[in-house]
Order: sequence, then structure tokens, then C-alpha cells
Amino acid sequence: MSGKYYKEFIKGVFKENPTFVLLLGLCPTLGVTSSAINGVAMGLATLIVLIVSNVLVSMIRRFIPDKIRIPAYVMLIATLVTVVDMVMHAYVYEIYKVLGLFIPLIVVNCIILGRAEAFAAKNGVVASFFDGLGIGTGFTISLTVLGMVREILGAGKLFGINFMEILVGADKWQPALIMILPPGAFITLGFLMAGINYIKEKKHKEVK
Amino acid sequence: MDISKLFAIIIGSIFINNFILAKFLGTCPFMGVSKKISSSIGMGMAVTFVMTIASSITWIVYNYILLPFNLKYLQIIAFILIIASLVQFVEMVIQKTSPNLYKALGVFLPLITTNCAVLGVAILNIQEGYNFIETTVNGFAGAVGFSIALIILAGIRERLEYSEIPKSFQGVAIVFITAGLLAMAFMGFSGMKI
Amino acid sequence: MGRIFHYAFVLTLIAVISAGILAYADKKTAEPIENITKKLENSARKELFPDAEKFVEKEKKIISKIEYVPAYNKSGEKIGFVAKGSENGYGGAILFMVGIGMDGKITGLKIIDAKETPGLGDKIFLESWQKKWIGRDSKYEFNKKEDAFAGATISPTAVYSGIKKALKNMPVEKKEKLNIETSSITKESIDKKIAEKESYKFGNASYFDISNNNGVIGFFIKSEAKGYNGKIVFEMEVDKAGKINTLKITENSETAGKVDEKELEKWQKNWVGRDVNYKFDETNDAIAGATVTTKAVADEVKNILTKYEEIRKKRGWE
Repeated sequence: MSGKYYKEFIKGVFKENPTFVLLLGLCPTLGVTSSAINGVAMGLATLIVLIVSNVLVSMIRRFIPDKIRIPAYVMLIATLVTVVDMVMHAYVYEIYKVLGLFIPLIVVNCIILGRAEAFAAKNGVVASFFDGLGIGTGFTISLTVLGMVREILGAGKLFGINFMEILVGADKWQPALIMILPPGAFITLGFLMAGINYIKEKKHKEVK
Repeated sequence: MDISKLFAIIIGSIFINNFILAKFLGTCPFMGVSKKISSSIGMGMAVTFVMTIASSITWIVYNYILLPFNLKYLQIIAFILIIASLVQFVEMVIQKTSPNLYKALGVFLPLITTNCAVLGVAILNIQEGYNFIETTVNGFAGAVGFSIALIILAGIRERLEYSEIPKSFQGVAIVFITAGLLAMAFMGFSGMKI
Repeated sequence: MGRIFHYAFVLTLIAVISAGILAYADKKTAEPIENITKKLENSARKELFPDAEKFVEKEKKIISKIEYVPAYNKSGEKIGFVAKGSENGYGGAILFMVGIGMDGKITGLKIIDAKETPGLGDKIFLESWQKKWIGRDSKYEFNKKEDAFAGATISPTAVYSGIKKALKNMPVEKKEKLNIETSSITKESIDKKIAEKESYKFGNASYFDISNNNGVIGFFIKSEAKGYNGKIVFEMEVDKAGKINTLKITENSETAGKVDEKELEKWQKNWVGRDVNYKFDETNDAIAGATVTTKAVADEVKNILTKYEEIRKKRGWE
């Protein structure tokens, strides 16, 4: 039993990784990964919305007429996101300010609606839960990795710790600022994808 | 009517704070549609149309319905419903009135609903406290900026087809890097004092 | 047909439930959200005025788009203002808070929000840079070497403009003194307006409001005294502090030729600056040969000023 759910979970992390494989949810991926911790925060927020959305959609899937399922799911997701937005504003204000506009934009994150449509509407609650957990985790990992690369190269820090300063000394190191600016987001993602392609190619060659 | 402010909004949203290259709004269609210049132009027109109208309508609803009745918390759900309905409506209208236009744009319209740029600009307009004219202008300018970036990228991609790209970079990877270079170029606009 | 109803019903149901959930969540989070914003703002203000006991939001004044909130120390004294403003920098609006002491000098600067270029313009967030501004006032000129960063001048210059604006527009109670030159007693004078209708009438004296752009700055009083040969009509202007700014005798039927014009003018000018506490000196304040006239006017002036003290008290001009 757990094997089946484990499969649903792990596929979201690797085979169907939303960022690197499915190319979904690119806006926040590029927009909030200027540091590792921001990537983590955004990923977790999306993860929560995704899981709850998947579970709820799965629960009510038999009661929603097919023709109106899109507006119904959209309303559900929008309500969820608004609640997350309010809760973050009230209890984790610092992170809320950093993520800013991208919190309400979770509503139009193609991942959420996409998963609701493609999976949760056709599967049981538990399976949907693990699917959401998997995809959400994959998303969080992608964001964190992207954030880490950009933060290290662009600011000489990791999770806020100024390690370059510790290693080399203050003022002796100038980070590649471009990495934490918009172009850096695109370029980092491009190189990461190239890297993943390369690894995939090698695997293929080995199999052959 | 502050013409200079409107001018600043236009130049700002098209170049300095380009919606995709600086704000990352609308990245999904940016990657998906920019394969050909023709589809980019079509998408650009559709987006411009929807974003301008959506900006106006969401502004009106926010200021005349949500605010007076103390319903600010319904902003997200109201906006997304307006946008989805608007897209549905626009699609129907174009289908009925101009089959040619529908053939060119039709397939892009549903994609616009989940285009973060539309919801994004609607929320931004409220955040910046623009009045009605400024909101509509910002929606229009943002869409124009989006379209320009999209068409430029499509132009580059069409050229890339004839270049030799390392295997690992083929596909999306090289597109991202290209977009990054394009974003770098647009950075040159920042610091422009209007 | 029934299908559409069903669809509409389901959608409306979802909409209503959603709205209900949101209303509930909104209510629950409204207070924590308000507390957080208030807490952050007050802690920011406290950094600018460590000695402050409280900041009275109710007395907030907005001048030229800058918010001024007064700071009071434990003894209830006003020790300065926290000015919050916004200025356009390189990457958009820079939101800042600057503490201004009652002496017009900066007590502290805090950049609250800005989207300046990381590594360049965002150095305005550095405490070391913000501390530089302490002690400066509105006369300070931006020094490129001192205040700007290598490769980034727009961000710090923007902050400087914002600070300068905040310093210049700080609400200060200035003592309004009516300019002697412009306050010749005519009803049309530059900058000030004398009310058409009298505000008060006590005895022979009619009091008319004098106001300029900042509000009421004093009174124009027309009265008459009983002189040697009949009534003497005179006009005077008094300021908020109770001091006479001008005095002019406009009508009199006193013994002609007895009073020298120049002497009378000098006598009138002597009244400028006097207030209710002034003691009329029979020998020095009279004009030779017109003692009755001058005493009559002086007595009436004293009456007026005494009554004026009551008005001043009532208006809170002490």
C-alpha cells in the first residue's frame, strides 16, 4: 500500500519535476529565488496550497458537474490562496513582505490548477494527497536549488550566512551581482536545465 | 490629468520594469509561445486586449464594490473570476464577430487566464494606487512590453534554429539563457529618468 | 434548462462557502495584522527617538505628502517629529523615516522599503550610512564624496531630497508678527485680510479678525475715545501675543494746530510693541499741549488690551 503512494510522491520530485521537466510554475521560480531561504518559503507556501487543493478537489470531484469544474476549482484555489496570504501576513510578516506579489499569484500557478485537473479530479483523496506532496516537494527542491546557486554566486551567502566574508574576509570579494538580478534568474535556470539534460544524456548512453 | 505621470507609467512598464524581463510575470506563455514570430504576435495582441480590459474592470470592481462594502479580502477570488469570465466572453465575441481573428488568436485566449501577468498587473494597479486612467494605461503598457519581449525572443529563437547548439543546451535551456541575455539588455533601461 | 440551474446552484454554493471562509479568516487575522504593522512602525520610530515614551498618531499632520507624527518623552514634552516620506530612487519609490528634533536636526534615519540595485544603491540600507545623517539639518548640502557610493549616486541623492523636504516642511509654531511696513491700517493689505464683519464688540471697540494663509493672526480694532473736543476715532492692530503692531488716529476734532503732525506720528509709533502690561507715563507719553487727547486714547487702548487678554485666553494664544 505504501509502495503505491511512495511512487506518487517520488515521481513529483524527479520524473515529473514541475520546474525542470514539466516547465510549470515558472513565474515564482524566477521571481523569488534571489536567495535560498526565499526559494524554500515560496516552495512551502505553494506546497501547502497544492496539497490542500488536491485533497479538497479530490473530495468533491463527484459533486462537481464536468462543465463547471474549472471555475469551481479556480474559486477553491483562490480561497485557499487568500487564506494563506492572510495567515502569512499576520504571522510571518518578514517572509510575506519578501514574497510579496507572488503569494496571490499562486492562484495562477499552472501547477495547482494543472494537478487538480490532471490528477485530483480523477483519483482518490489519499493518492491526491501524495501527488500534491510529491509535486510540491519537487517544486520546493527546485526553487531551493535555484535560490542556493543564485545566492552563492550573487551575494556570497548561503541561507543568509555570509560565508565568503568568513572565508576570505570582508571587502575582499565581489559577488557576481547579476545573479541575484532578473537576468541571473533566467541564466541560472538555463544552465541548470542544460546540466540536467547532460546527466540524462549520459544515463541514456549508459543504458544503450 | 497628469500626462507626465502617464508617460512615466508607459515607459516604465514597457522598458524599465518590463513585465517578463524584470518582473517575471507571464513567463509560462513566454517560453511556450515564443517559438515562432507569428504566434508571438498573435499572443501579444490577445494579451494586450485582455490585460487592458481586465485592468479597467478589476479596478472598477475593487474601488466601487469591494472597498465600499469592506470586502477587500475577496480581492483575489473576485479578480480571478473576472479575468476568467472576461477571457471566456472575449473568446465568444471574437468567435462570433470575426472568424479570421478567431483563427489567429483563438487558441491563445484560454492560456491567458492563467497568465500571471494579467492577475499580476491587476493587483499591482491597486497596490500602486493608480486612478482609472493610470490603471488602464498601465495594463496596456505592460501588455505591450510583454509583447515586445515575446516577439524579440521569438525572432532570436527562429534564428537559433540554424545555429549549432551543444546537445545539453538544446531545447529549453538555451531559450532561458537567451532570455537572460535579453533581460540584461533591458536592464540598460533602468535609471532612465523621465 | 435544469442543467443550467444545477450548474448555477453548485457554483453559487461554492462561491458562498468561499466568501464565508474568507470573511472568517479575514476577521481572525485582522487584529494580528494590525498589530504587526503598528509594532514594526513603533519599533522603527523608537530607533529614531530612543528617549520617546509615545508617538501620538492622532496628531499626525500631512504636509507636502510627508507624514509627521510627534514624539513625546516621559515628561510629556514634545521632543520632535517622526517624518515618513517617499522619494523616487533608481528602482522605484524609497520609503524612509527620519526623526527630526525640535531644533530641526536629524536624530536618526531609517530606510523602510526600497528596490534599489543590490550591492550598489541598496547601500542606503547600511546602518553606517544612515548614521551619517544624525545631527544634520535642512541647511546641509549633499556631498558626493561623503554621501554617495561608488557607482551609485541616484539612490543616496533621492534619500537626501526626501530628507530635505521632510526637514523643510516640519510643522513649527512660528510666532506671527505683523510686518510693520505692510500693516498700514488699510483694509487691503498684501497677504492679510481683515474680516468684513466684526467678531466682537465691547464698549466702543469693534474687533475684526485678521487672517492670512495660516489662519487668524491677530485683530484689527476700531474704537473711539472721548477727547477734549469730542470723539477721537482710532484704529489699531494687535497680534496673537497681545502686542500692538500699529496704532493710528483717524478722526479727531481736537484743537487744530495744537498737535504737531510729526509728533503725533511719533507718538503713534511709540505704541508699537506695547501690550497690556504697559504703564502709561503721564510725563513721557503725553504730547505737550495735548495731554487730554493722548491720555484719552491711552486709556481706551488700555481698556481694549485688557479685554483682549480675555479673548487671547479664550483662543489659547497665551
